[in-house]
Amino acid sequence: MTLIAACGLSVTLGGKRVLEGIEFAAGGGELVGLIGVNGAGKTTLLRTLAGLCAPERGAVLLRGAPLAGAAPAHRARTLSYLAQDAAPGWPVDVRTLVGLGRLPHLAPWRGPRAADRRAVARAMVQCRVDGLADRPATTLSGGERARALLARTLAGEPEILLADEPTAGLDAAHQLDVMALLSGLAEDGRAVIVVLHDLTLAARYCSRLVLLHAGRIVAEGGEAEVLTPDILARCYGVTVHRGSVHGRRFVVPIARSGTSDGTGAC
Amino acid sequence: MTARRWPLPVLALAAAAAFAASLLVGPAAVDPGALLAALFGGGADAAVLIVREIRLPRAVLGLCIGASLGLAGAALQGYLRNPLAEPGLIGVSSSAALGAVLAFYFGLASLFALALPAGGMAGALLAALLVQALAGRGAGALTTILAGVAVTSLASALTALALNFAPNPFAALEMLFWLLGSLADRSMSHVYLAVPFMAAGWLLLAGLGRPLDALTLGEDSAATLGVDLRRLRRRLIAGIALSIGAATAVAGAIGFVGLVVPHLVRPLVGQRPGATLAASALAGGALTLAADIAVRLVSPGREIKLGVLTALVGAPFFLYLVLRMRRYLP
Repeated sequence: MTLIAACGLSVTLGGKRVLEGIEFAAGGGELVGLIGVNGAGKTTLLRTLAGLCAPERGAVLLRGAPLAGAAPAHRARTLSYLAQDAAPGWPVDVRTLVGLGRLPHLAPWRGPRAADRRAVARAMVQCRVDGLADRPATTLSGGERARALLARTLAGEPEILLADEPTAGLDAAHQLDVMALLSGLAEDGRAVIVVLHDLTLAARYCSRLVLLHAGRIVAEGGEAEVLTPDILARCYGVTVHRGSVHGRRFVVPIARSGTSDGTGAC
Repeated sequence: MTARRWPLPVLALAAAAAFAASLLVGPAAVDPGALLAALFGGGADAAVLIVREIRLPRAVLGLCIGASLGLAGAALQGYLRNPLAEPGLIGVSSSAALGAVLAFYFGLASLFALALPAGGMAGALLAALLVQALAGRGAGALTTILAGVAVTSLASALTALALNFAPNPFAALEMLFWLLGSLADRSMSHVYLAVPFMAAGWLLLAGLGRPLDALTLGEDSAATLGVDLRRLRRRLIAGIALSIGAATAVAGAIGFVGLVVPHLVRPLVGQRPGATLAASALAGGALTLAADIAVRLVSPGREIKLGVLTALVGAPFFLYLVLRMRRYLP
């Protein structure tokens, strides 16, 4: 079933058309990878889906109803957004940080209840940060912080999870951990939409890929249909080596093949 | 969420103790029993006069102004995610000071007693409207601060202009002394004028705990957690203008309390911006009362101004806090 959709979405930022005519839908059980070169519009699409950018034309539909008309608390309970540059501004402990995800669920002027504490504990176990519960969030390593922030988004028990480059700045092992976690969340019935730069991670974990170029969707489907040498040469301007080891797909850029900078035709 | 329960009652007790001490300490030696009797019943005439007309308004204003400074400082630091913010940053204190100085300058202060605080509050109100208008329709914190800095500079320049053209040296000295910040010689009419505005400001600011918690992870995360950032900013500016505007209007500029107090209580309440609000209000009240008592004890006769003392003690203390805090900050 479709949980979130974009219909004829166009977005203009600072006088520049950033997204044009986007038709997109994601349902429960899907892990959708948004890929494309820098400036292709991936982050803007994700932010628009999260309700952080107002579309100039078209609409975002949350379970079939316009996102713009949804009550902020309802929206916040249904949809969780992991920003690319999210960093704790105060040295709160990890349990408190993860607990922020429960804010949309709390009754006014009331503290967290047992259900809230359970959701926080579950999210911390899921992201393996339960051992860090009492650590100040500002003292975590990059990998620990990424997992703690992911736990924060899970604590709200959203149906839809939007994550902007959750693997950025992580070492190889932690990248695999985070992707496996996101994949598991999708298998649990959530719609997970994630911006990725690493084509191998995109190919291996995502159930569907959406390739953006200059604000438009130029390819969509399984990795075999989207990550073809031809499309990658045109959109990314690179030649790639594709292969698989023990049935696990990898896509490695080998060399530049053109001058594509993400703004020209694709 | 980790929340320790002891800080709030302990801080409330400290504020209550400081309030009681503020009633008991002063140049006139009156024994505590007579003071209590004078406060709640009849008693000797002199004691009634001292406690009801001199010490009570001073203690009430000290508590309320300190609470305003602590609360507004905690709210603004939470909003900006910046521990260096102080309540004057959005321009209301300097504009309130300007309003009061103008009341001096145009001789209104000698016409009726409450012209000073009324001018101060008018200044704070104008500043809040100006900052809100300058910050525009965007929701970002940066534009708010830039607008506040612009308003602060303008108000300071106009205050300097008023001092420059003061009709005589005594008037200039009077304005300057007033700007230093003090609670001496305030009456119950100051209390009746300022406290309702401060209380309205507290109500606005006290409701910001959750949105400020959500801002821990930045504006985008807060927005997706259901926070209306524009509404948050409107309430923040209005709350600070009411509480700090009224505080500055009756007591002049009292620095460093709003900057230092949130730092003091933050480790006690687990660093969460929302939990810092109430604790900062109580600690701010206690500290300001303590400083005002110290002012009376250190140099009776010729009192050091409260604002001078808080700056003298606050600046080095803040330096110490910054050095200690470097361990935690990224």
